[in-house]
Amino acid sequence: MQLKKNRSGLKRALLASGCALLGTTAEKAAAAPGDWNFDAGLLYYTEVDGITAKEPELLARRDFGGDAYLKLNLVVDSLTGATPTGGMPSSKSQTVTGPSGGSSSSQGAGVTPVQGGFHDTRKAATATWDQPFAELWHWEASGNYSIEHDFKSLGASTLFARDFDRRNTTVSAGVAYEHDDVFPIGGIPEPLSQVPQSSPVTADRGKTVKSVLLGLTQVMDHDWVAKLNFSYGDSDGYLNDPYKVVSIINTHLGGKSGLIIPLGPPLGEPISQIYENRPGTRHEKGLFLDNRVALSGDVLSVAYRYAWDDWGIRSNIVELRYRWAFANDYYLQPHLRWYRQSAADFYHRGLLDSDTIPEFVSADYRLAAFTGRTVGLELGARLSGGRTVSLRIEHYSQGGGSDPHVEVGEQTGYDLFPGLSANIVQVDFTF
Amino acid sequence: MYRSATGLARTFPLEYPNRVTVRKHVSQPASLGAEWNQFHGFDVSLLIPPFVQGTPMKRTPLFLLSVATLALLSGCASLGVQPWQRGTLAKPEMAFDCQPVEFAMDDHIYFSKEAMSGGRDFAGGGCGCN
Repeated sequence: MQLKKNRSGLKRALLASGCALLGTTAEKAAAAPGDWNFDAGLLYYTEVDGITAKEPELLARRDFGGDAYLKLNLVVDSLTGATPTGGMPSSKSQTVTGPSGGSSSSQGAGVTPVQGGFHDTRKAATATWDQPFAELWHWEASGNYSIEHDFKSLGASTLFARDFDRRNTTVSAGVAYEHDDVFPIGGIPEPLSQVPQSSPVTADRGKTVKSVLLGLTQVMDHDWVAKLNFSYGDSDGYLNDPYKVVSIINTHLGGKSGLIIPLGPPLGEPISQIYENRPGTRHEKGLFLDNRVALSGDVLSVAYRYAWDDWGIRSNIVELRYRWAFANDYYLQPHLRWYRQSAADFYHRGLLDSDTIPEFVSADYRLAAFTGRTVGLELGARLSGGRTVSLRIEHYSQGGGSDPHVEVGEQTGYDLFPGLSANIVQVDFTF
Repeated sequence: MYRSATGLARTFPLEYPNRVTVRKHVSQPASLGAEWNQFHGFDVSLLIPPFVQGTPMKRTPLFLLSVATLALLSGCASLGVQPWQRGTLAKPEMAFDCQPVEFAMDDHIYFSKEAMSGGRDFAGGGCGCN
């Protein structure tokens, strides 16, 4: 009996080694068949003058023996606040029409227009089956569903992995398919039509995302493991943001307050807005390199990603985490993330009234050139019974440039990139 | 007009201004006949993805990454450890998904705030925020 027990412990230790190579957690390998393990997290994300999100998430994992696992992931994401519409600031207060065409809010002079009163709740569920087969192979299949007020998504993925060279090398390949339905409040607006829309084109539209993921995991030495992923994503369908608009600004010499005879709007004043329009397809590719390096009990994580697409966007990410273990069961983990992207070819902060309206145009700041920075610190502790608890506090900011094309008249005095400053607090508990 | 090795007609992509054409001296297989001659001109630039092409400054990050990857792959023969040397590698914090909930939350945040996402896992997101 005792011998059997010891053999079981050895098997678990070997499974743990194998799991490390496959990029799966070793913690789960320590579980016995029939066991459930849970990872519960609560995220609080808040932007200055923007969105606030509260996101509880639960990951439950059941051990079916033989290194086979069922993973269930549940997320509820509650969002409130305001988000930039894409419109440009004005010297006068502006009225932002709500997506329904009925509700509207007044924006102060000189501020970036935002769509306020935003409130949505997203619920998402993912189920994943994960098992080895034929000794050196590994298979994973996953299905996910999410729904929110104006969006619904259904997706599935599968991934195969095979170990080579004493399980020092793992090669993986997977595909994913996702179908999304977009049914915005007030319906789908006619692209490039004047805001507010007189009548929606249709109530809803859809899009599909097909993805391929190729991976190579390599044990470099007894303290270092590296992973390289190549990803390809093909989106097709309705890729517009139905709530985003593009301002058209006046380029004619206009009036100034105080003049007896008003000559028209001031130079640079937004005089109208149109709904954005993006291409109906997008092809994204990415290379992602991740490393885990053990350093005298600490762990350094270094990741880099380069991604590019046929919208003209190129992006780089460098991400560092250093897990500093102290007092046996505690760790502090500083986190730095640096992100930079170039603008989409069709991104314009605004249009001049003398411009010909292009076929594709968007003023969504997420398609602009900008730099994002994250600085954070996490404190974690290992409790009795294999439980862990952690708290992280981070700050995320974005800074971008202006658009010389629309720096006309009064626009020269405004910061044309809305900017973003957000705080992130997350607690996590595994048991 | 250019023919790829598969025999499919292709035109030179205009975005490859710095292509280099290399003539490969290949003996003509008897079974292919005269048609094989049309495949001799082999344009190596067609093997280089568009993102690597351009000015040296533009290609630097990808070039370095490619070199690092090739070095990693070519050095595989001397890489790796024996099963009994995996004590450190088996620690939970050495796994790539050691903090799955935290990584998922981060992916969601950055998916909604930036133009590009994914890399660590499949792209997409199942969220209407972007």
